Amino acid sequence: MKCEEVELKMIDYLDRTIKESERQEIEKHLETCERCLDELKDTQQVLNLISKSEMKKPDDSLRINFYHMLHSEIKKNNESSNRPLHKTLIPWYNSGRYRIAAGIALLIGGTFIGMLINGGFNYTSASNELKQLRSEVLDLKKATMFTMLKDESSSDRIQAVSYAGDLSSPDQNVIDELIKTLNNDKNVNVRMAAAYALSKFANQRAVTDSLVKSLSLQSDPILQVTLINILAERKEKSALRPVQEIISNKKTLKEVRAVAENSLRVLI
Amino acid sequence: MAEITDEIFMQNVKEGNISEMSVLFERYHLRIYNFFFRLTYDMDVSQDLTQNLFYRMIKYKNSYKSDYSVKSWIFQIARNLHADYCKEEKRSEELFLKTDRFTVEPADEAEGYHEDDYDRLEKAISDLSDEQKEIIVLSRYQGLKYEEISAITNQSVAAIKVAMYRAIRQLRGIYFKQI
Repeated sequence: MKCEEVELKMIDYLDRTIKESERQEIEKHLETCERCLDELKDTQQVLNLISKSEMKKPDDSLRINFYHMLHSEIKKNNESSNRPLHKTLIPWYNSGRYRIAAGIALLIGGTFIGMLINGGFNYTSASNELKQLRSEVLDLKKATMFTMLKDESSSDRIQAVSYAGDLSSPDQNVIDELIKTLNNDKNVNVRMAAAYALSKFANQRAVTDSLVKSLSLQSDPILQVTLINILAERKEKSALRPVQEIISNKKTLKEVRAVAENSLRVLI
Repeated sequence: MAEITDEIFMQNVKEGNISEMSVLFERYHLRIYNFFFRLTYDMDVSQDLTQNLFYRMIKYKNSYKSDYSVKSWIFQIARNLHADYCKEEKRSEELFLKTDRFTVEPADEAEGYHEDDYDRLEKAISDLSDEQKEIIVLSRYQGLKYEEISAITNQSVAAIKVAMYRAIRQLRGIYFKQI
């Protein structure tokens, strides 16, 4: 074998990805050619140095930004293109969103007509009426949410969950419904939306507890990752046990395990 | 539990289950971040490019072909992103300033390597052409097989082997000249 050929095969030789016959030929050449032997040693040193270089770690904002982006993409996707054809053919007034809008319009109209009929428009009664109106709209939003959560289409269920997430102080019923959705909905996107909606109320102890509890129930890798991230972001110490269980569970996907192990830094 | 392949997850994303992108993110973000870092030596830029890559994967999910390797597809997108970034960088003529931004690699003295060695190596790599840098990063830092690099760069395996040999020879030359 000539120097040129040896040089060309040097990397494969060092990687041991070369045929036995070629290996022997190269070694025969190296016994007599000092220049090639020097080059081989230098190459080996450079390659070793590269392989010992450590991976750089990005900071946590990369993961957090990714999950924010992912969440908004899921929302966008559900609002537009993903509606199945039969859904788009249903008259507009039957679709969930318009049912709500129409309901609210009826309610507002009805209240004002009621105010007019009851005669007089004095400010105290108007502001009381408005307060009542506001709470009725909220009730309606909630009621619609409960109806939509039973809808066949996953995009309507996501919509319902995001209505719930918009409430400033949801009552126990809403929270319970979201938790039920988080643990039982058949569609992973809906469950994930429920996890995010609940995370907005995670300053309530009961909500955090239910997120922690849900973590040990979820077997879907995506939900596991989502919940671990939500709880780790809040440095929720009570999540430590389910996280450790996930780590020690043999069935856990290795990607999930990596996220779980990463979260230990803030949970321990 | 049998490993669920990248291709199955990506196919599901394509069909609208976008949340499954999180698995691909967890599998790839570290390597991709390091791919960009080795090429740019800039942590902020690498972070932005990595973020961008996963955004593109979602945005162009329909252009993913189900029989295609997700790994190759991801590295193709990564290369394009890096090429776009270089074009922009060259326009702003900042490229030559980048060599000052090295962060020091942890020392591995037991193995006979010192921080200086890693520093010199990184400096030497930054002196290579973009093409040479890229092939070394793909092959040695990312550990991709020649066949995989061939699929990503659309070059023959033989051409890649030669390019690889030349890149390493160049790197070796610069590295040992510094001593």
